[in-house]
Amino acid sequence: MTERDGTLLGTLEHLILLAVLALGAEAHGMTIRDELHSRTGRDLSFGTIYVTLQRLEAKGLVTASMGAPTPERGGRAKRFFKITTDGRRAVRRSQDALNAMTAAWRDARTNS
Amino acid sequence: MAPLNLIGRALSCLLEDEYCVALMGDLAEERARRARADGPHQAARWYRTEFCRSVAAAIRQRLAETARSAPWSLAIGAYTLVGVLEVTMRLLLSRVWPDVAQPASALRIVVELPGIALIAYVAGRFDRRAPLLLGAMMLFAAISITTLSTETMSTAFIVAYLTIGPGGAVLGARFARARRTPA
Repeated sequence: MTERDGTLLGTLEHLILLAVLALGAEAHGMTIRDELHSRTGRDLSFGTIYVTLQRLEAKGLVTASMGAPTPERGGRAKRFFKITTDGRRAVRRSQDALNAMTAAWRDARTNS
Repeated sequence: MAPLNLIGRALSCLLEDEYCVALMGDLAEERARRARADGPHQAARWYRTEFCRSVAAAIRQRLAETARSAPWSLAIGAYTLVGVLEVTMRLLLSRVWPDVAQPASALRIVVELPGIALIAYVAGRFDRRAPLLLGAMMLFAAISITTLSTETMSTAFIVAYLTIGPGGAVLGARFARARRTPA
Protein backbone atom coordinates (compact mmCIF):
# COMPACT_ATOMS: atom_id res chain seq x y z
CA MET A 1 0.00 0.00 0.00
CA THR A 2 1.37 3.42 -0.86
CA GLU A 3 0.32 6.95 0.07
CA ARG A 4 -0.58 7.86 -3.51
CA ASP A 5 -4.27 7.98 -2.64
CA GLY A 6 -3.78 11.33 -0.91
CA THR A 7 -4.18 10.06 2.67
CA LEU A 8 -2.38 12.29 5.15
CA LEU A 9 0.16 10.86 7.57
CA GLY A 10 -0.59 10.37 11.25
CA THR A 11 1.30 12.66 13.65
CA LEU A 12 3.73 9.97 14.77
CA GLU A 13 4.32 8.75 11.21
CA HIS A 14 4.95 12.33 10.13
CA LEU A 15 7.42 12.99 12.98
CA ILE A 16 9.29 9.73 12.41
CA LEU A 17 9.60 10.35 8.67
CA LEU A 18 10.95 13.85 9.38
CA ALA A 19 13.47 12.33 11.82
CA VAL A 20 14.54 9.78 9.18
CA LEU A 21 15.01 12.65 6.70
CA ALA A 22 16.99 14.71 9.23
CA LEU A 23 19.26 11.86 10.28
CA GLY A 24 20.08 10.65 6.76
CA ALA A 25 22.38 7.62 6.79
CA GLU A 26 22.37 7.49 10.62
CA ALA A 27 18.62 6.85 10.93
CA HIS A 28 18.01 3.80 13.12
CA GLY A 29 15.75 3.11 16.10
CA MET A 30 17.89 4.68 18.80
CA THR A 31 18.90 7.83 16.88
CA ILE A 32 15.29 8.36 15.74
CA ARG A 33 14.10 8.07 19.35
CA ASP A 34 16.79 10.47 20.60
CA GLU A 35 16.07 12.95 17.81
CA LEU A 36 12.35 12.97 18.62
CA HIS A 37 13.07 13.34 22.32
CA SER A 38 15.51 16.22 21.91
CA ARG A 39 13.40 18.10 19.35
CA THR A 40 9.86 17.51 20.62
CA GLY A 41 10.29 16.37 24.23
CA ARG A 42 8.28 13.21 23.52
CA ASP A 43 9.68 10.20 25.38
CA LEU A 44 8.57 7.38 23.08
CA SER A 45 9.32 3.75 23.80
CA PHE A 46 11.35 1.69 21.35
CA GLY A 47 8.25 -0.43 20.79
CA THR A 48 6.28 2.58 19.57
CA ILE A 49 9.10 3.61 17.23
CA TYR A 50 9.56 0.15 15.72
CA VAL A 51 5.86 -0.64 15.27
CA THR A 52 5.49 2.67 13.41
CA LEU A 53 8.60 2.06 11.31
CA GLN A 54 7.35 -1.42 10.44
CA ARG A 55 4.04 0.10 9.29
CA LEU A 56 5.85 2.79 7.27
CA GLU A 57 7.95 0.11 5.56
CA ALA A 58 4.81 -1.91 4.78
CA LYS A 59 3.30 1.24 3.21
CA GLY A 60 6.41 1.69 1.08
CA LEU A 61 7.34 5.01 2.70
CA VAL A 62 10.73 3.83 4.05
CA THR A 63 13.16 1.08 3.14
CA ALA A 64 15.19 -0.78 5.76
CA SER A 65 18.54 -2.54 5.81
CA MET A 66 20.43 -4.39 8.53
CA GLY A 67 23.84 -3.13 9.73
CA ALA A 68 26.62 -5.24 11.21
CA PRO A 69 26.12 -6.91 14.63
CA THR A 70 28.09 -5.27 17.46
CA PRO A 71 29.14 -6.64 20.89
CA GLU A 72 27.56 -3.79 22.90
CA ARG A 73 24.21 -4.74 21.34
CA GLY A 74 24.60 -8.35 22.45
CA GLY A 75 25.63 -9.39 18.91
CA ARG A 76 22.50 -7.88 17.37
CA ALA A 77 22.48 -5.67 14.29
CA LYS A 78 21.03 -2.19 13.86
CA ARG A 79 18.25 -1.64 11.36
CA PHE A 80 18.82 1.46 9.24
CA PHE A 81 16.02 3.34 7.49
CA LYS A 82 15.87 5.44 4.34
CA ILE A 83 12.91 7.42 3.10
CA THR A 84 11.50 6.48 -0.33
CA THR A 85 10.16 8.78 -3.06
CA ASP A 86 6.61 7.95 -1.90
CA GLY A 87 7.69 8.78 1.65
CA ARG A 88 9.04 12.20 0.61
CA ARG A 89 5.83 12.87 -1.30
CA ALA A 90 3.71 11.88 1.73
CA VAL A 91 5.76 14.17 4.03
CA ARG A 92 5.42 17.08 1.58
CA ARG A 93 1.66 16.54 1.28
CA SER A 94 1.15 16.40 5.06
CA GLN A 95 3.46 19.38 5.57
CA ASP A 96 1.54 21.40 2.94
CA ALA A 97 -1.77 20.52 4.61
CA LEU A 98 -0.40 21.60 8.01
CA ASN A 99 0.98 24.84 6.57
CA ALA A 100 -2.32 25.60 4.82
CA MET A 101 -4.32 25.03 7.98
CA THR A 102 -1.83 27.05 10.08
CA ALA A 103 -2.20 29.92 7.60
CA ALA A 104 -6.00 29.66 7.88
CA TRP A 105 -5.73 29.83 11.67
CA ARG A 106 -3.40 32.87 11.46
CA ASP A 107 -5.81 34.60 9.07
CA ALA A 108 -8.70 33.95 11.44
CA ARG A 109 -6.69 35.32 14.37
CA THR A 110 -5.71 38.42 12.41
CA ASN A 111 -9.30 39.08 11.32
CA SER A 112 -10.81 38.62 14.78
CA MET B 1 10.30 -19.14 32.15
CA ALA B 2 11.44 -15.68 33.36
CA PRO B 3 8.79 -12.95 33.03
CA LEU B 4 10.92 -10.93 30.60
CA ASN B 5 11.40 -13.98 28.36
CA LEU B 6 7.65 -14.44 28.32
CA ILE B 7 7.14 -10.79 27.39
CA GLY B 8 9.89 -11.15 24.78
CA ARG B 9 7.86 -13.91 23.14
CA ALA B 10 4.88 -11.58 23.02
CA LEU B 11 7.10 -8.99 21.36
CA SER B 12 8.20 -11.45 18.68
CA CYS B 13 4.52 -11.98 17.82
CA LEU B 14 3.99 -8.24 17.38
CA LEU B 15 7.07 -7.37 15.35
CA GLU B 16 8.84 -9.01 12.41
CA ASP B 17 12.07 -10.82 13.28
CA GLU B 18 14.40 -8.08 11.97
CA TYR B 19 12.52 -5.40 13.94
CA CYS B 20 12.55 -7.54 17.06
CA VAL B 21 16.34 -8.05 16.76
CA ALA B 22 16.90 -4.30 16.23
CA LEU B 23 14.69 -3.41 19.20
CA MET B 24 16.43 -5.87 21.53
CA GLY B 25 19.80 -4.57 20.29
CA ASP B 26 18.81 -0.96 21.02
CA LEU B 27 17.65 -1.92 24.50
CA ALA B 28 20.93 -3.78 25.17
CA GLU B 29 23.04 -0.88 23.85
CA GLU B 30 21.17 1.72 25.91
CA ARG B 31 21.36 -0.52 28.99
CA ALA B 32 25.15 -0.82 28.60
CA ARG B 33 25.43 2.97 28.21
CA ARG B 34 23.30 3.57 31.31
CA ALA B 35 25.27 0.95 33.29
CA ARG B 36 28.45 2.93 32.64
CA ALA B 37 26.79 6.25 33.53
CA ASP B 38 24.40 5.36 36.40
CA GLY B 39 25.48 1.90 37.58
CA PRO B 40 24.18 -1.61 36.83
CA HIS B 41 21.15 -1.51 39.15
CA GLN B 42 19.73 1.69 37.66
CA ALA B 43 20.41 0.32 34.18
CA ALA B 44 18.66 -2.97 34.95
CA ARG B 45 15.64 -1.11 36.32
CA TRP B 46 15.50 1.10 33.22
CA TYR B 47 15.76 -1.99 31.01
CA ARG B 48 12.85 -3.76 32.69
CA THR B 49 10.65 -0.65 32.56
CA GLU B 50 11.52 0.17 28.94
CA PHE B 51 11.06 -3.44 27.86
CA CYS B 52 7.54 -3.57 29.34
CA ARG B 53 6.73 -0.12 27.94
CA SER B 54 7.81 -1.23 24.48
CA VAL B 55 5.67 -4.37 24.58
CA ALA B 56 2.66 -2.44 25.92
CA ALA B 57 3.07 0.22 23.21
CA ALA B 58 3.36 -2.43 20.51
CA ILE B 59 0.23 -4.22 21.75
CA ARG B 60 -1.71 -0.94 21.96
CA GLN B 61 -0.74 0.11 18.44
CA ARG B 62 -1.51 -3.33 17.01
CA LEU B 63 -4.92 -3.34 18.68
CA ALA B 64 -5.63 0.14 17.39
CA GLU B 65 -4.64 -0.86 13.83
CA THR B 66 -6.78 -4.00 13.98
CA ALA B 67 -9.72 -2.07 15.37
CA ARG B 68 -9.47 0.61 12.69
CA SER B 69 -9.62 -2.01 9.97
CA ALA B 70 -12.44 -4.06 11.54
CA PRO B 71 -14.92 -2.17 13.81
CA TRP B 72 -17.26 -5.17 13.78
CA SER B 73 -14.67 -7.42 15.42
CA LEU B 74 -14.16 -4.74 18.07
CA ALA B 75 -17.93 -4.45 18.65
CA ILE B 76 -18.25 -8.24 18.93
CA GLY B 77 -15.35 -8.26 21.42
CA ALA B 78 -17.07 -5.52 23.43
CA TYR B 79 -20.37 -7.43 23.32
CA THR B 80 -18.59 -10.51 24.68
CA LEU B 81 -17.20 -8.34 27.49
CA VAL B 82 -20.73 -7.13 28.28
CA GLY B 83 -21.71 -10.82 28.58
CA VAL B 84 -18.81 -11.41 30.97
CA LEU B 85 -19.87 -8.32 32.93
CA GLU B 86 -23.43 -9.63 33.23
CA VAL B 87 -22.31 -13.03 34.53
CA THR B 88 -19.86 -11.41 36.97
CA MET B 89 -22.49 -8.98 38.27
CA ARG B 90 -24.98 -11.78 38.82
CA LEU B 91 -22.41 -13.80 40.72
CA LEU B 92 -21.41 -10.84 42.89
CA LEU B 93 -24.97 -9.67 43.50
CA SER B 94 -26.16 -13.19 44.39
CA ARG B 95 -23.94 -12.99 47.49
CA VAL B 96 -24.87 -9.50 48.68
CA TRP B 97 -28.24 -8.74 47.11
CA PRO B 98 -29.95 -11.98 45.96
CA ASP B 99 -33.22 -10.32 44.84
CA VAL B 100 -31.42 -8.04 42.40
CA ALA B 101 -29.31 -10.93 41.05
CA GLN B 102 -32.40 -12.57 39.48
CA PRO B 103 -32.29 -12.86 35.66
CA ALA B 104 -35.43 -10.74 35.20
CA SER B 105 -34.43 -7.98 37.64
CA ALA B 106 -34.61 -4.46 36.21
CA LEU B 107 -32.36 -3.10 38.97
CA ARG B 108 -29.56 -5.51 38.01
CA ILE B 109 -29.55 -4.10 34.49
CA VAL B 110 -29.43 -0.55 35.88
CA VAL B 111 -26.46 -1.53 38.09
CA GLU B 112 -24.65 -2.76 34.97
CA LEU B 113 -24.93 0.63 33.24
CA PRO B 114 -21.52 2.05 34.34
CA GLY B 115 -19.79 -1.18 33.26
CA ILE B 116 -21.47 -1.11 29.84
CA ALA B 117 -20.57 2.56 29.42
CA LEU B 118 -16.95 1.81 30.37
CA ILE B 119 -16.73 -1.05 27.84
CA ALA B 120 -18.25 1.16 25.14
CA TYR B 121 -15.86 3.97 26.07
CA VAL B 122 -12.81 1.70 25.69
CA ALA B 123 -14.13 0.40 22.35
CA GLY B 124 -14.79 4.00 21.28
CA ARG B 125 -11.19 4.97 22.01
CA PHE B 126 -10.12 2.50 19.31
CA ASP B 127 -12.87 3.20 16.79
CA ARG B 128 -15.72 5.67 17.11
CA ARG B 129 -18.06 3.33 15.19
CA ALA B 130 -17.60 0.44 17.63
CA PRO B 131 -19.83 1.71 20.52
CA LEU B 132 -22.67 2.44 18.13
CA LEU B 133 -22.37 -1.04 16.63
CA LEU B 134 -22.31 -2.41 20.19
CA GLY B 135 -25.47 -0.42 21.04
CA ALA B 136 -27.21 -1.70 17.90
CA MET B 137 -26.27 -5.31 18.75
CA MET B 138 -27.55 -4.91 22.31
CA LEU B 139 -30.81 -3.33 21.13
CA PHE B 140 -31.31 -6.14 18.60
CA ALA B 141 -30.66 -8.76 21.31
CA ALA B 142 -33.02 -7.00 23.75
CA ILE B 143 -35.84 -6.76 21.19
CA SER B 144 -35.38 -10.40 20.16
CA ILE B 145 -35.36 -11.71 23.75
CA THR B 146 -38.29 -9.60 25.00
CA THR B 147 -40.49 -10.48 22.01
CA LEU B 148 -39.55 -14.15 21.57
CA SER B 149 -39.23 -15.23 25.21
CA THR B 150 -42.18 -17.10 26.71
CA GLU B 151 -41.17 -16.19 30.29
CA THR B 152 -43.11 -13.53 32.18
CA MET B 153 -41.26 -10.20 32.33
CA SER B 154 -42.18 -7.07 34.25
CA THR B 155 -42.63 -3.82 32.34
CA ALA B 156 -39.77 -2.29 34.33
CA PHE B 157 -37.47 -5.11 33.21
CA ILE B 158 -38.46 -4.76 29.54
CA VAL B 159 -37.96 -0.98 29.60
CA ALA B 160 -34.59 -1.34 31.38
CA TYR B 161 -33.49 -4.12 29.02
CA LEU B 162 -34.38 -2.10 25.93
CA THR B 163 -32.81 1.17 27.10
CA ILE B 164 -29.91 0.53 29.48
CA GLY B 165 -27.67 -1.45 27.08
CA PRO B 166 -27.99 0.89 24.09
CA GLY B 167 -27.99 3.89 26.46
CA GLY B 168 -24.73 2.74 28.06
CA ALA B 169 -23.18 2.29 24.62
CA VAL B 170 -24.21 5.81 23.58
CA LEU B 171 -22.88 7.20 26.88
CA GLY B 172 -19.53 5.44 26.32
CA ALA B 173 -19.40 6.75 22.74
CA ARG B 174 -20.01 10.31 23.98
CA PHE B 175 -17.24 10.04 26.60
CA ALA B 176 -14.82 8.62 24.02
CA ARG B 177 -15.73 11.40 21.59
CA ALA B 178 -15.31 14.08 24.26
CA ARG B 179 -11.90 12.66 25.15
CA ARG B 180 -10.86 12.59 21.48
CA THR B 181 -11.96 16.16 20.82
CA PRO B 182 -9.10 18.57 21.54
CA ALA B 183 -9.64 21.68 23.65
